[in-house]
Amino acid sequence: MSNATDPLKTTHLYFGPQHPGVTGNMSIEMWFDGDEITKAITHVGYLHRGFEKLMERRLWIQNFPLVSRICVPEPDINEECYALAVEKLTGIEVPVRAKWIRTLVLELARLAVNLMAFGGQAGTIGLGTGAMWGITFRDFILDLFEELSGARIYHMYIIPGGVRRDLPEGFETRILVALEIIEERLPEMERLILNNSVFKDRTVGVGVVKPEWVDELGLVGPIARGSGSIRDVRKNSPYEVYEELRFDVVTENGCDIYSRAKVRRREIDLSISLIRQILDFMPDGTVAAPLPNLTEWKIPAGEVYTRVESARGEYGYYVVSDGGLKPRRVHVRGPSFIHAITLLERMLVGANIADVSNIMVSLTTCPPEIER
Amino acid sequence: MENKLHSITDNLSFDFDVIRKEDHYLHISIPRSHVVEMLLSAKQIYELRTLQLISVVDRIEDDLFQLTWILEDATGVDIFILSAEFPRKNCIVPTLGDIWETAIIFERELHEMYGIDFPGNSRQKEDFLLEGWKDIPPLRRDFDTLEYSLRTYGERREREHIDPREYIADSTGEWDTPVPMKDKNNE
Repeated sequence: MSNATDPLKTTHLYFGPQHPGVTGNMSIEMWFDGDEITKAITHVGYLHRGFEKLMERRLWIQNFPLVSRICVPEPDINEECYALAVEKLTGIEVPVRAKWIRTLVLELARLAVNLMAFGGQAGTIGLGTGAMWGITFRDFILDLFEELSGARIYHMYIIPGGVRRDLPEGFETRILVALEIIEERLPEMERLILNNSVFKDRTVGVGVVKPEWVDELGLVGPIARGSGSIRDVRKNSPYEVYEELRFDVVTENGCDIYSRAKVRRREIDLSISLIRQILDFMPDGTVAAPLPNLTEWKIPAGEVYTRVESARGEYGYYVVSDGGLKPRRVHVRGPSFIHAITLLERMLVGANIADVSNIMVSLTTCPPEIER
Repeated sequence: MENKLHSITDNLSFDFDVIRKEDHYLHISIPRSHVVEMLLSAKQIYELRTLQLISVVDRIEDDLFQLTWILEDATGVDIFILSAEFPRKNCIVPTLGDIWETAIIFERELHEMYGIDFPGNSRQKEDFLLEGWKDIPPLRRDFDTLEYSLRTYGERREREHIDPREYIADSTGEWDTPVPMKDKNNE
């Protein structure tokens, strides 16, 4: 037996699945030498619901309520990936206005997640005020989603060929009002978190992701960009109308938790900027292409891999059709699959027990993406 | 203009099929005996350094598993997808754990979900999602979820159906739609 797990020299501890510092339902089995972690293993399987298996047994359209449930904070990316795959396989052309609305929805969702994640990072070290502000600001966005789709969490709004319905009357104005409220308070939230000496002490130099790990492990999103990478699907492989919007990829070079928190803070500004651009330039027109009878809809045989940028990074769907009424295979590739297992197990070695939840939250791991 | 990604197939010494070809996107299918050399050259020569996914399609009607590897370059612009078919019975696929550390976790999941053996994968025997699973691997097409559920958990109790209109009408005595409702006084 190696020293890393020698019972005479180490303490063996389970962290989660029921623990306030764990992101979602997962646990980490850890061995300690004193206060320092010598080995960590991620355990998942607490909320496996067999989405991918279920999708093989349902009509193409019946999978929309399923896919959105793979991610609670940001369901829209799943709808988008699945819709893009169906559209690629069928050749359906999405109306221009629908593309703008989809981009708007995706940025609103990203804004909501980053507000929660930025505040949540402060919450893990006891700075509860920041976490509560983040949740509150997110709620303003959820109000908008409720008005738009009838649901606060699982929107099921993006469908193949467009979106379910056009924006409600006056919706753009209400978005701008919400953005103004959020923007007015953001500087104070930023000072509370990023300028806080305790926050800096607990995050600068902690949870380091070395830049060379980004390619090696396929790290994405704020994790990669917090270590200097420019990986961002919105920029590198634009979908919907991102090519028509002006923005730069947000990067930081600190490689630590503080750096990732700064990326999320700047991503909030970026999303607000993109939403304003979308509202300024969104054209009129129809919002959905005509679809055939959905209960008899056979998708042409083929295979496709579609990607979008989620708040946690690149999100992919590998979809296979054999020309039937149901998908032959849908494989969901969420960023947490690598972040929460390969990366987290590597990062935790040498870390202290008090930093475990801090590190974990900085990765915004989401177990449903792993378990599908 | 041909980009670097599309030149991958220029000098291949074996047969291949192009499944999908777009700008910065290439999906080909090759014989299984050339998978490792193809993936190695994609990584080393074409700088597709990131392994994003390993996936499986169960083609039970042909008694085959189709394995698919998805690679990306450092910027995330180019996507290269490689597929190959393997016999479904006692399926053995070479591990890529020595080339990409992330392959270990992808293969571990596929071992559990399809029963595919990746000799040399140091962690494939560890339970992934399904602790103590004894049945056939659940993502195989011949695994029947309903049959498993009935065998393991038994029949679900019959659900009581309540018509919401009747429930509201019975509770409040009111129903403001033109749907005919029972007159409580005449029951």
